[in-house]
Amino acid sequence: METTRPDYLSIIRSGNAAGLRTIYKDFLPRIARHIMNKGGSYDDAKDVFQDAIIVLYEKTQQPDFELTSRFYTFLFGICRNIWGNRLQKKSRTEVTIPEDAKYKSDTDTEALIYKAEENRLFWDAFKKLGEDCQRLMQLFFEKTKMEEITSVMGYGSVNYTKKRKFVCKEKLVRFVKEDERFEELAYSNEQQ
Amino acid sequence: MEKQQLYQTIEAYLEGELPEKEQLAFERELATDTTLAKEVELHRSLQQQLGDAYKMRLRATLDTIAEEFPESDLSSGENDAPNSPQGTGNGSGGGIPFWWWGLGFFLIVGGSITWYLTSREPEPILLSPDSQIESQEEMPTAADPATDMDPTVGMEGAEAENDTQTPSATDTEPSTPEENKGPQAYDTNRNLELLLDGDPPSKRYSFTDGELNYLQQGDQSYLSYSGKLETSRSVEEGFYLSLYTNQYPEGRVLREALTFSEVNPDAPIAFAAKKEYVAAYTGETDLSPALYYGVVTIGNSSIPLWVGKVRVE
Repeated sequence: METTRPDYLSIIRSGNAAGLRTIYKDFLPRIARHIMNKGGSYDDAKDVFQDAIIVLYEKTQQPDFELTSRFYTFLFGICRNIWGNRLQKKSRTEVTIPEDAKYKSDTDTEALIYKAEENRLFWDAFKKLGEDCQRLMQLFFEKTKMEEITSVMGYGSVNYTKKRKFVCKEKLVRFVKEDERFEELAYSNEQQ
Repeated sequence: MEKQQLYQTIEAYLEGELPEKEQLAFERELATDTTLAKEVELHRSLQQQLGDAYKMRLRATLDTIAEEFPESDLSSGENDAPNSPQGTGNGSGGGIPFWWWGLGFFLIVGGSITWYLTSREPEPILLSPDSQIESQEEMPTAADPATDMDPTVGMEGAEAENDTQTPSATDTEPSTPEENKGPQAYDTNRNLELLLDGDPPSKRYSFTDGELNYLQQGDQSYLSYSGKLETSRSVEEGFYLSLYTNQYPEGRVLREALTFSEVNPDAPIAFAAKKEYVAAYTGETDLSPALYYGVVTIGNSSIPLWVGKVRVE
């Protein structure tokens, strides 16, 4: 019954929406149940699941990456790590966590998880921006020239675009800094 | 205002665009000022993460998909619903076939992407000192027949054009090559020459390997353009090849839609990957001897995506 399983890694590499939906359908329920058993909500579970896919995407970008276990095992491991990390962070402020929820993984995966969690924070902040700012920021981060942004956004002048870009970026930075997860990022700590 | 200046400096520093002196000074400051150093790191990370177009799209896609999986599915999954998680098989039970959701998703996402692309109407800003000329010429099908075709059409058009300054349209239209004949016909145009060598202004649509040729066969002469376009976006927005005399932008001789064919249509489609197209145009034109510039633009934009020139003897 497992002979025709889809190539999940290729799906993630290509970003094919129908394929990604299959991944959700095949694995989300099982993983969600696990996370909900470990004190998370369903929304927590969906966030963790999505971040794990981002981690996997980063993994697939490594030239020497090879899947040595079953896809589900690997995905589950990453989700468990992400959730374990989050519990640990929470525990610093509120709860004590059971020993078995603290997981360790290799440093490479650990670094990618960190990166994915940073991406999650930025992504959540980005989504709080208005539609206009989102488009402007996206063009800006894609290093589009100011002249082209002005034209694409239909602004009156390059100067206005620059001003608007600053307003949007300042908002984005503020959303990021206001988020409690920001304190977990390396460059917000005193050591830097 | 001060903060805006700071952002600008940080961004210029990260792009390596600060003049050497300023860069050294900034780096000295970074070494001692940890708050500044952290701010720079934040901007660097934001740029890296949010500038990753693939990841941004992946996030957006996953957000949309996640909404299709409500918590209620989870409990019903214990039974034998289509989304059965324990998956004795591929959950092909009853209910709505799974791929219907896929279809719906594509309609929604495809629709919004199309909307997004079509709703951005770039306005002409670059290199067009008189945007009125530009906007009148942007509607060739409506305006051209009225100005240089038979009088009956002109009569029809006159009514509609009463307030659109027909005289100025006729003023600009006749600047055909004949008028540019003479010693100046082969003069170069400085603005366009700059673009010939500069980097293409658009990262989204990159036209490369373009060639502009003029061939004479018997008493017919052909203008041909061929080039390559690389983009991850839709090419249906409408690209145009305009031919100018060296009097840009007044001396437009021709504006024609470009046709595209995908170079490798069978290649697997990556979500944000660029695709290659070949764009071509061949037309019969009777050009007078002069130097001509071909400019490729998108839609109504006057931002040149590609510039080439051809000398007609």
